[in-house]
Amino acid sequence: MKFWQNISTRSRSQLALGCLLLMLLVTFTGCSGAARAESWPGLLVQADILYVANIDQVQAFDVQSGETLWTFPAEPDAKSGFYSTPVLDEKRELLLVAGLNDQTVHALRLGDSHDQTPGLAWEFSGAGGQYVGEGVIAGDLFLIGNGDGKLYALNLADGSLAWTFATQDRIWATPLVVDELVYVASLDHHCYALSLESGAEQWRLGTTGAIAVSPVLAGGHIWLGNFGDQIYQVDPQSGAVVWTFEGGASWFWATPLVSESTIYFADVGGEVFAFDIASQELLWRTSIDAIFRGRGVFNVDGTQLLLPAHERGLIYALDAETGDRLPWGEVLENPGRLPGNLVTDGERVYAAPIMISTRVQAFAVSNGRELWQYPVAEEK
Amino acid sequence: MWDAIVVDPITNLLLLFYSLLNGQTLLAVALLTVLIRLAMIPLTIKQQKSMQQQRKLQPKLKIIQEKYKNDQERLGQEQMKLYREAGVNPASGCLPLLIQLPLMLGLYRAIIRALAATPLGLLELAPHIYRVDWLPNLSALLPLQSQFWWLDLALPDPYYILPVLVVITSWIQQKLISAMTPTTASSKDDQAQAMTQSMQVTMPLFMGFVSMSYASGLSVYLVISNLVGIFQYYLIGQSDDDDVAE
Repeated sequence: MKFWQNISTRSRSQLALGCLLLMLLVTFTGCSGAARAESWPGLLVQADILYVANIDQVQAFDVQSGETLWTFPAEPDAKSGFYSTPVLDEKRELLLVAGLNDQTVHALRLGDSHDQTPGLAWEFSGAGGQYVGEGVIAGDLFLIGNGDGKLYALNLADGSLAWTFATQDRIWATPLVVDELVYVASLDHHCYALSLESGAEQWRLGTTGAIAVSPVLAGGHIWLGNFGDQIYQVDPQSGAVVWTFEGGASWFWATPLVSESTIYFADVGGEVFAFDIASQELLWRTSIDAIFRGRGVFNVDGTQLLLPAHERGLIYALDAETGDRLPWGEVLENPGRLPGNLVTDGERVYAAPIMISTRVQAFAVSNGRELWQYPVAEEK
Repeated sequence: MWDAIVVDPITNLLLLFYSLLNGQTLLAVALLTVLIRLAMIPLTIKQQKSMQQQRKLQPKLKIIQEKYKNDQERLGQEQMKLYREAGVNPASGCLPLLIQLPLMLGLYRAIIRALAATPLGLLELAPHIYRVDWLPNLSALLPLQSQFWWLDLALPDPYYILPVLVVITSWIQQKLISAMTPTTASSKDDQAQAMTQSMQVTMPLFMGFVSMSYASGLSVYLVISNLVGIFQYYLIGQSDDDDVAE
């Protein structure tokens, strides 16, 4: 109190003002409005190597041990950030990764041995926005959508631009290539069919909401969901809507899973739907208190669906036939969040949580037991 | 709790305006800001009236301060007596502020949230959208169309036009506020005056910094909010001058 009385009037007012500004600063910056380093890590498993594009690096892991084989760039760079899942071009031995903030596609030339750090084959930095969706390889082209609303077709040989196609909003979905057509969904509420050779538009389908789901082919038709809570079955040649499901209750954002006769959609509100591909009949519908954004996987014999729940960080196992929940895995002490896709090599299922220190987890597909994690957990 | 009571309703109201205004994000932000500021006018007037009443008491307060300058305890008692007799509560100016501040911060958060620029931001927004039969499907409107002229409303203004406007309008508003603040020659009021003067410079700069760092949709909100505030304080100032003239 004496200290307060001793300091000058001016100092007091400056101190009070400083406190007020500090309070405002904390309020503003604590409200998640500022740009933050973020990603939902993309996973790819191929030939006993797990590739992870994460918040600040692309890493390769030995699937058995979880040992890190190499990282790109060598030092973590939080400014880059990755949403887009890596894509492997086996023919040219390239790993294609696209950055969120550096807005660049990097083609990494994989070495002869697994643990050899890849060199840079080429880069493409001609896009004007962030890369969020995964790309796809079609012949000699790499197709990837961008936040500037364009689909880019790059020549895999040297990264040069073959063609582009502009939509009216961001492209966050992975394009689908069937024969000579490319199907690309945009947040502008449309799905477009383009010529693979030239990028010329063949047809477009307007829907009731933004489309962030990657279209899939099932039973000879294109299937996609949107932010208007609807699912569309579309004729791939004409773009005519064959059937629409309007009973959804939330956004469809996770890429659907397709089995021989059934297609499964999980939505952001926690509903999971199973449709007969041939008859469009709703086989079952189940509700879970979760947010589903990432694509799930099947277990080895296709009898179970494993779905990543974003907010709870849990992986749910459902009976593919009935939709009943099955016991799988254990509740982790600190699970993080799971917005990204799961991948499996048949033996293990891999997840990449965010908002915790653990970057990668490997579980046994059969029972969900955790096999390894990266970085290795500290001994208690 | 804070989200459910304050931020979620404002977020959904913003989406409803966006829907009614045919997908014009900037207009929706502007309309919501104006409406919220207008809704707060009774509180602002109450606050200003309290300040005016205190200002009218200043001559008497000055006499009391002079009279009891060596007896702080008595000074306090006499001041309270004067306030009581005049029916003025010196703390009543703070109550409206306590109601306004959460609303303005809620509006700020709603704008930032609704203008989610990244997939993760959008995913986090989804559970906060109302899904009721009597409203249009608001979630189908997302993500909001954020392009407006040179601006992407979800990102900071690259040409610093809006931050400059924020600084100028904040400064004018602060100037009008300080013109209404009661002034006397006592040492305590020196302190208040010094504080007011510092605020007059520091607040606009701080707001300019916020505007440069955050989504330009927020800057739109700040500029419109300041303009409404300037108009409001100007009108109140006019009526105050009329009172003095009478």
